[in-house]
Amino acid sequence: MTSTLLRLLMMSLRGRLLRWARQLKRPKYLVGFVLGTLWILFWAFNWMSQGIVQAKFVGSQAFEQLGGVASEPLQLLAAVGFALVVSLGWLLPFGRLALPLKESELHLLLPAPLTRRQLIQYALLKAQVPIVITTVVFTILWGSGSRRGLMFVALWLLFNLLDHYSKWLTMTQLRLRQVSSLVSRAVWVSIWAALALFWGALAPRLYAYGLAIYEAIGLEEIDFGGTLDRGDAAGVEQILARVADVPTDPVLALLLAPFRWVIAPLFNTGVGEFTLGLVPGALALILLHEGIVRSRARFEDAAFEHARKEATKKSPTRRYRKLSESSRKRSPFSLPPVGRPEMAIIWKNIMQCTRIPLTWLVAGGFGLLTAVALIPALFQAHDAVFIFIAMMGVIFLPMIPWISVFALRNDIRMELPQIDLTRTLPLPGFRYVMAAIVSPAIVGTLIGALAVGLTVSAYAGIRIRGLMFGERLYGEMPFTNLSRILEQPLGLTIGLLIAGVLPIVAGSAVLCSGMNNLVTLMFPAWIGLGPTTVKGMAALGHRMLLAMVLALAMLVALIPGAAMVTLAILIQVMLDMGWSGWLLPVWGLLVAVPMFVEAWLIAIVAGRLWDALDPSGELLEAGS
Amino acid sequence: MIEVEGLVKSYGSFRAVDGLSLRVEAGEILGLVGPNGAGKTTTLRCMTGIIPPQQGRVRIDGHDLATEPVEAKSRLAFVPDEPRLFDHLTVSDHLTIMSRIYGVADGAARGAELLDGFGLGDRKNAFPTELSRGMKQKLMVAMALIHRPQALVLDEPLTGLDPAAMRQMKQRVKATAEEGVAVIISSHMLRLVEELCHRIVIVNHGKKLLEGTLEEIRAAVPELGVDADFEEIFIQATGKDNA
Repeated sequence: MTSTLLRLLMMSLRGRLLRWARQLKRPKYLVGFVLGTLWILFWAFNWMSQGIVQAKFVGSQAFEQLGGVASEPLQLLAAVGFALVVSLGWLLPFGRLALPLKESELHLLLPAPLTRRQLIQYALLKAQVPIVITTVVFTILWGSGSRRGLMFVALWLLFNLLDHYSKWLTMTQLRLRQVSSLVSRAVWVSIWAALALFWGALAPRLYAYGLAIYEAIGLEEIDFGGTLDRGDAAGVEQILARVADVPTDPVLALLLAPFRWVIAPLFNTGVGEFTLGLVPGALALILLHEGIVRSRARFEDAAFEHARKEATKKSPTRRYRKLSESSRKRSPFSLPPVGRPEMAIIWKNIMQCTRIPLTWLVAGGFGLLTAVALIPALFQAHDAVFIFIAMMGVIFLPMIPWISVFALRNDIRMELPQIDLTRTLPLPGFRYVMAAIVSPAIVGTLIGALAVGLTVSAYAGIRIRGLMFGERLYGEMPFTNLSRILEQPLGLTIGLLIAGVLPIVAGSAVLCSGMNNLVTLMFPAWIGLGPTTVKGMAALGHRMLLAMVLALAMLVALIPGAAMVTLAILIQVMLDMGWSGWLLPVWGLLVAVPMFVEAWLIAIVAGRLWDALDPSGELLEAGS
Repeated sequence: MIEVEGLVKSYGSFRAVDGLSLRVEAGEILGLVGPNGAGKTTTLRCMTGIIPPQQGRVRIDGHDLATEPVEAKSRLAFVPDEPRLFDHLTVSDHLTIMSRIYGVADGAARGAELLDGFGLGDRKNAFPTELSRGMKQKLMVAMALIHRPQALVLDEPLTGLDPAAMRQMKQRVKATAEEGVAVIISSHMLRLVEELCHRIVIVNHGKKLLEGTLEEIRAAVPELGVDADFEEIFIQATGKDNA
């Protein structure tokens, strides 16, 4: 029967691979997959070639070096980590008290003629797929040369021990819920007492040992900017040698001994030593395995409950359920029954991001920005705090279009799965698409305004602090140079800059949203539709391609605005008109207006696409 | 009224709807029946503007769906076989948005009346995920009726409903037709079609096999006799076609 379960596991794995392979037969998935794979490989190679892994202490060479020179403290540290994991399972109420089986598996396997042992073994067997994948990844990253094989076995054993321990803990704690409360309480009290004794004895010795290591390293002597960054091997070796010389408290070693035995294979380099080192871990694994399969805990109900909870947790709609009755009655703005119908689409789409009335949001934003200005000022914060706040706003601003496009998703991507409903609405394509474009742009612009507001708040905060405490600015605020060039006071310069930036923020949000909606209508099968984020290599490739196309299109779309500003500056220079801060809002408008025009044109094209869209091939058949 | 002429829709080489024509007068209920894959849902989707047909014409109250889509759609309502609602909108929000899109001046009062009528009055602040399938179906019908359409198209309207809700839904459909609305019902529930519909169209492979009142259809299959029930007629007609 176990072979049947193994077969079931293999078949489901095979099914997944086949479905994946079948998908790749379609050119669009193949292209996405190839691009996604190249992307991953590019980053992996980049990462590895830069030597991040090798250079850091977790890297294979450094790991071996550490293992050789400072093996003792390293092993003790790993043992403490392991002991902590083992203890936390009894101390913290996290973790599931159920075997991780899906509802479909439970419905299939519980009525099947299987023994309890076989069913539990299936749950254990299931974990092997992620365990093996994780082990392979870690072996590639950490292992080197001939040690890779040993590292694989050691890591596989360690991950299995952790997995089995968590499942043993699950079954044991579940059983404790099912026995009499007297027995349960006695067991819990004994375990907590044992843990208290263990950690009570361990903690002071661990502290003393840590202190000795700290002194041995001599942090104050190390030039972090120099020696370590240059990878000065001699310097590192000296430190490691000093660390290795720190004597280990025999009681500390004794207390941690069982945990050290289990993790020993990770540190043993010789094959014979390694094989011997595997024995305690393997024995522990067998004991845990038997403990799980022989457990008398009734796990079925808990497994069902867990499966249902997991399904709900993964559901993208779970956040709506948590809304209170009063929140459910709120909406971003009131929607009278008569008026422009596209306002209903905007109302609906904004509601997907927030049900808080827009007026409240604006007032809340002002309140927040006032607090950001006042609180540091009242506490006489250093200039660095204000400069940090201002820079946060400046850094955040260019991200606004991307936020409105990728993060909000309150556009046509959410409409297409409801095509049976949305296509019957009596709205011309242009107006419908325009509403879908405007919705994320409104939210994006509001976030952009908040980012701009941060810069203003920082400036206002410094002024308030100056007025209240008479302190002068230690350093220079951002835009000080600009105010000098424009020969305007810093406050006015910032005000004029904001007047110039805000239309660009709104324009770029509308334009980016427009392009995204256009791409969605042109290639609906390439886009993740609905609230669920599609995973997998093909989806990653599609997202990457979409991001590249959008970035390129955005650059091209900026050309008219840039050309307009360049032309204006040229005219100004030719007419020798001189510079003024009042030009900033004009330049902002010159950049923004072409963006709005482009978004308008995009809406016309996308509206026609919506009118002519035949969703039968890519949307309705896909089971949207 | 609903007029469909020579509707053709293909998916690649597969012809889902093959030159289908039908006409439903105001106040009439037409039953569209056929085996699985006969092309019913595709026909309904073409008739409601969800998917464009390759050939043919659909007119709703005299307005061509291809050339005057807004006018045609504003007179039309469609209830799909699977209730597709917006996850982030409450029951009440769904009716608010429909009122605005169709410009229903008394939207709030009409919405409340429909919700009460369908027994959803106490669930108006619930999200779709908190509703049973039957409740979702009722909400879809309420959304379809809020703008007092002149043509109502229902795809499997009774799926997921309990017996009491089925009876209520049937009464609502009848009452809607009596108000002068042209109704098309597609269903596998032959008893429902027999009970509710004035005329029936049996389709298979995208083509119309039989059309008429139950008596006319019975007469078209004389080998089954005058007492043959609709189920026998349906199986005979579609079986013959499959053969």
